[in-house]
Amino acid sequence: MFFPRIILILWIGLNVIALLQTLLKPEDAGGIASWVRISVVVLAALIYVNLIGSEGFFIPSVIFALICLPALGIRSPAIVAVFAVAVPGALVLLFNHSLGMPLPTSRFTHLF
Amino acid sequence: MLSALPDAIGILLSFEGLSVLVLGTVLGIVLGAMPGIGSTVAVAIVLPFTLTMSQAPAIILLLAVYAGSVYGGSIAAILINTPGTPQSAATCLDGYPMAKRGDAGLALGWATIASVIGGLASAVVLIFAAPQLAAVALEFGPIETFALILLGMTCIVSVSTGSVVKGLMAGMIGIFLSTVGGDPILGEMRFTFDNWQLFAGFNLLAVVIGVFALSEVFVRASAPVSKVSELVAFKGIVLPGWSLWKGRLRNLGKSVLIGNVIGVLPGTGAATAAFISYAEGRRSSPNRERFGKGEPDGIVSSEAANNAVTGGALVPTMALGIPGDAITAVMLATLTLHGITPGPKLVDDNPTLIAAIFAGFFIINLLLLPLGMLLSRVAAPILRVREAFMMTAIVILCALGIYFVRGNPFDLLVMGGAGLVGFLLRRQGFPMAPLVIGMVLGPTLELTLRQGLILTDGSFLAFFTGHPIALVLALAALLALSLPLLRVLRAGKTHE
Repeated sequence: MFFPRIILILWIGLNVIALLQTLLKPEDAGGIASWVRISVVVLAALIYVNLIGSEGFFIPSVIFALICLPALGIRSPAIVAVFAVAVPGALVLLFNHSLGMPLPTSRFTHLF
Repeated sequence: MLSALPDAIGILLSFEGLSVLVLGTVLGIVLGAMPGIGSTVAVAIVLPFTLTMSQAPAIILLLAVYAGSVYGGSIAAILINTPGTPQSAATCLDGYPMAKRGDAGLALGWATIASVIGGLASAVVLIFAAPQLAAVALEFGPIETFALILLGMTCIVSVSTGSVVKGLMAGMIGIFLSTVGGDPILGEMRFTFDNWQLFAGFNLLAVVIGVFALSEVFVRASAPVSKVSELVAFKGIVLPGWSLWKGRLRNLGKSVLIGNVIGVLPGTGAATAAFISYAEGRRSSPNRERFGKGEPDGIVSSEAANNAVTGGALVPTMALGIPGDAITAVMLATLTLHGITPGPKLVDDNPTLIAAIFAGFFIINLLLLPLGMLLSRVAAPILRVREAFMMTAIVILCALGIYFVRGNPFDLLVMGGAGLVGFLLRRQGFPMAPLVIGMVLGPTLELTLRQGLILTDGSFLAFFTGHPIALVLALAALLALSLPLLRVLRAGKTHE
């Protein structure tokens, strides 16, 4: 624990300097344009990466795209649906069936 | 290294070698042209897919993406007045006005030629400078290596964008993350909380992708939705004739020189080089009054310099194992992931790999001309793709890439966590490059410090009293650290 301790001591010292700097001259982190959008995208991404291991690559990717695209401003349901199925579908076809490098599959079928 | 050249050429001329040269340059140009992706994210997206390749093709593919993306950034800068990469921001100043008056093809022609010449010159600098620098550092023991890494880290955090303190803090976070897992001397487990997934430490690749690519998606999702930019009329690249170069060659040479010098300095970056070169071009060009109104010298200054940085930035990375910026930090992470220890012995231990990288980098810059001409017409319509599609695709590709490497779902969680932490840190003005650099260099820093302490019977002072090279390097580190602080103090006094 010798080395991590040095790093933590230095880090605490830097924290104190940063705290003093902030107290003397407060910084503005810049606003968030839409809390709903960023919350949806961050949550969707975190749930998505968590689900790939258990539910396979294709289904979580489709659901993620179906949630993320409207959140990021794509309003046409047809375009959202086509993109959400086509991009993960193309990647599954490429990796599982062309390159022979299997991606995780779902509990429903061994195909995707 | 010259003796390894035939083997290196053999690697490059193999089917795999030629494929990665062309594919990497194509990917780089297309990804670089897309506003919002940038060179670092482009390299980070491609990185996981290189891990199934052998060492040389993997590094060459990433180099091609790097060099291609720096050039590709100019396509968006000229055609839609939005730089595809930050390095091309200065290109907008004259590229877009020129395109708007109907000369988009010629503007891209100037940018292409300047990029190719800048890139080729930087390849020559890389080929000659890196082995010389590495030869100097070859005799370094653990104490000198410790001082060298210390210098590298202070150089990089001291030129971090924004606060120096925040840069240092990000670097410390990176070093701390690298201590998770087994102790390099005693072998005991640290900060693993009995979770076997952490016994080998955090997956470097997952952290790199998380803090660069995933956090970029979150940052963009937190900004207002951008509209699709208007594309100017464009029918393909028109190369400027020899007569048009009259009176501009001096500016080209100067820009190449600025790019190379700035590239070698750790942490300065291509965007800085492009703006310094642009300012120098405007100061010294006979056409200075036309700058900002579509003057070719403006495009040449920016593009020659930003492409000249690419090879220069690789000099400290390849010769000393010290990354010059975020992209070279990712490159260094790639070397580590491929089982190559970055550091002064890199050139000596891997002559064929280094020769292949150097020769490959030269060829990549040659390929920019034909591929740039071919791809600019294809890339132009891509500029109209909505950002939402790119962002969604980036998350899917990152997840795919991370899972693809080890098939371990825990790596995906690390990536998600790193993305979220990276986003929160970036919002508070913390640069991400020092974090990755800390994580890459941290293990060597710890190992050399502890080896040095064993050699000196635990006396840290003896690191510098008995080792003049280490003393000089430590003083240089102190200077690199104090200069930005002095600048801040001086700026404060001027305001008073």
